[in-house]
Amino acid sequence: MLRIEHLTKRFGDKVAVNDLTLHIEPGEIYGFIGHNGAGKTTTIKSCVGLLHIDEGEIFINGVSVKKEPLKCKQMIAYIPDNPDLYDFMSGIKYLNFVADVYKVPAGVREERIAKYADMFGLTSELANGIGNYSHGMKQKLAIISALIHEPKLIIMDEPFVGLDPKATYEVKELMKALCKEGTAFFFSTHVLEVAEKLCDHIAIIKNGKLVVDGTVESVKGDSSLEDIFMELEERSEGGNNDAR
Amino acid sequence: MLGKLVAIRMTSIFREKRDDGKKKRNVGLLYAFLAIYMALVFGFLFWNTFGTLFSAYCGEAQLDWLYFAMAASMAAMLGFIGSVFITQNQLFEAKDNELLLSMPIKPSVILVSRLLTLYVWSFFFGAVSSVPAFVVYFLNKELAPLGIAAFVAELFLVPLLALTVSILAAWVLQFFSRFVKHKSLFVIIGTFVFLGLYMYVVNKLMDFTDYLAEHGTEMGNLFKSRLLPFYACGTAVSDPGPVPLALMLAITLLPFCILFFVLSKTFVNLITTKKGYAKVKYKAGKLKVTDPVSAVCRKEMLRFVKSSAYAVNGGTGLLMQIVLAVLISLKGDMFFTILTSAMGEERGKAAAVTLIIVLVAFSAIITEITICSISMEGKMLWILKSAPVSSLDILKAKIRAHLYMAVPFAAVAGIVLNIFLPLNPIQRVMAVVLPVTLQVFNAYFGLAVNLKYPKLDWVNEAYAVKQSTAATIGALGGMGTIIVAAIAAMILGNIIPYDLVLVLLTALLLLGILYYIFKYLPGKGVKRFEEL
Repeated sequence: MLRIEHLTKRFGDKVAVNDLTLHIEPGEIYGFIGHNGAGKTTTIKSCVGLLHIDEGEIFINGVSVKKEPLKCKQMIAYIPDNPDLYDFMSGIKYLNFVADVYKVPAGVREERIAKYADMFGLTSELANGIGNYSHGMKQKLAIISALIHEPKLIIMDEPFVGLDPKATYEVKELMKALCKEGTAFFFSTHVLEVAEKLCDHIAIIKNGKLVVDGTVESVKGDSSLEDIFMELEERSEGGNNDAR
Repeated sequence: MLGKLVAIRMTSIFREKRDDGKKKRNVGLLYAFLAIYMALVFGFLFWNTFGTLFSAYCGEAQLDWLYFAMAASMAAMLGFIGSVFITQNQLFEAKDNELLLSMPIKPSVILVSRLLTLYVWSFFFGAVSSVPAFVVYFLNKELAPLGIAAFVAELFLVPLLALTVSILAAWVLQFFSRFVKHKSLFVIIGTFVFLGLYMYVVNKLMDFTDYLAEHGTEMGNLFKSRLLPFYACGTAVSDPGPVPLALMLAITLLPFCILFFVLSKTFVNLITTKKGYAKVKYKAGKLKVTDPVSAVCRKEMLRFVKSSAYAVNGGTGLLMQIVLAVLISLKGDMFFTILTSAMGEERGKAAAVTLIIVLVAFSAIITEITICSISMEGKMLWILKSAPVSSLDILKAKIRAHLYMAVPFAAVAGIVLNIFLPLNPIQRVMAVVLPVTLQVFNAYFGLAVNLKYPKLDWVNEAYAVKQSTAATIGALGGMGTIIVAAIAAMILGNIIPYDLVLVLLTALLLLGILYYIFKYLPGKGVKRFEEL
């Protein structure tokens, strides 16, 4: 579903992502872990077409993001780490706008909006301006808007930040349910427990380079993901010190 | 800390992020140029006004104190006008209020940093009338050294008085706006009423000055009985002494000090209290379906009408076009008189008609819609960039929104000219075609400027609309273009028939539009948008 092949992204002299290769299959939940500034958001933004790809290729369902960005965008949904939405719109107007952009038929969009707004307890707030929403409500609205066109791949940057426990639970359950229908998820997170319990596969990135990837079991073995992550961090720091 | 906070505030206004997001572009020079331009235009206006008042009050009438009282009252009025619109926004609704409060900074320091920025605005507007008043007096009559000192004190203190009134007005606005359902509409209507009033006063300034000059005694009594602060300011300069000076200081400083004391005690409460909003009950119903480009276009139009700062800034040009068309159609005698006496009846009339059409058409260029539309995306740019809509279609949708909102006004302005002016058939057509073509050109030109100078890192949309490089280029370039077009029309009229001048200008604009449609937008325009 998502193939990242030798992705390299530079900002001036700084190499933010260095020769990254990842493959995500349909129906898979793929966690992307790394320290702050590791290159997670840059990778995600490259996948959704927000950043120009310097080297390498990204394919969504076999379609090149470089060559056919619109076709790719039609198949995916993106939820950023900070839900900066149109404050001047009401919740329902924003959802309708997104449905228009993704060409979702009238009846279908009404049905999906009703279903997901009820699920996240946002129905009563849909007529109110987004400017009056809390961070969590905006995050819920961003998630609903991502589901309207039933994407094959959902790419999320820190999706659980700002969500209340009930909404977090709902999102996790929804992810599992959608996975069974073939939807793939690729998301970054700092919450290692969530990654451990929710993901089929994980990848750990450090300073733009892939350190390890594979199934959760194969990566963590008998330890916890937290232990593995810390061990990789320390080993990498030790390596850096030796190099110096 | 206070210095740092003021510096941050000023930096956010005068410096912009460059395209690569690393270095910053200094646009201070551009603002300095705009400030000098404004000061010259208004300074000249007040120079004339105070020249008249000086002759009336400072000769035999010996009402010198009234002259300075009048100067103080005008400075206060302008200072109030200059600061009232931004006070609420900067003081109570600044988005970094909570961030700063969470830091180890005294709330009073945050408050003072905000007030200092507002004071600079108020001072600038006040000085535009105070300084010409002083220069007129100083060149014609001697003023005691203590009087000069009193004037300098007045120059700095009267804007403080204006700021006090602005803060009170902003506080009242802040208090009542929470009960208003359509807040932006409330602000837009209020602003246009205020601007209309202001334009009326400026338009009638000469008549008003004559009235003031003729009714010196009555005005003197009015100031003595009802406008005591300005009476105190006037006497402090004309009859300087410890008592009038102390009275002036007390009257200008005391209200501000009291307000500052109250504000500093309630500031945290005022900005952190959850404002609440009138909740609307959601009823699920049929949703309107449109194609993606129309959806983006509708979004643009909704943003325009929902943002008071955007609507007021962009909408003023639209209204101005019609108001200008009516005004110079009805009161354009000056054009006809000057040009017919200089060029003869027939040629002069044709020149005047051409000039009117050109001026009305080119006033459209101060309509600033697309020129802010990229900047207005701010941190929400990801929504459009991640949507399955091509960059070219997004840019076209922004153009379309500008045209939907602006072309009807341009057409109406042309129709107004058709109604009020004695035009020949070619002029009748061009009176509508030229303003409409210009507005189309303006939409493309504005978008190109904003793509070149986007301001996406704003914390308050007023920065994107009013204080960005693109907006400043729009304001200055607009005014400059009107002047250049008028001069070009007059010069060309000496070589070719005036009707042909209108056709030629339209053809030039069409060429510009064609360049933007076929060359710039699909090429550089798209590339620039994708780099953002």
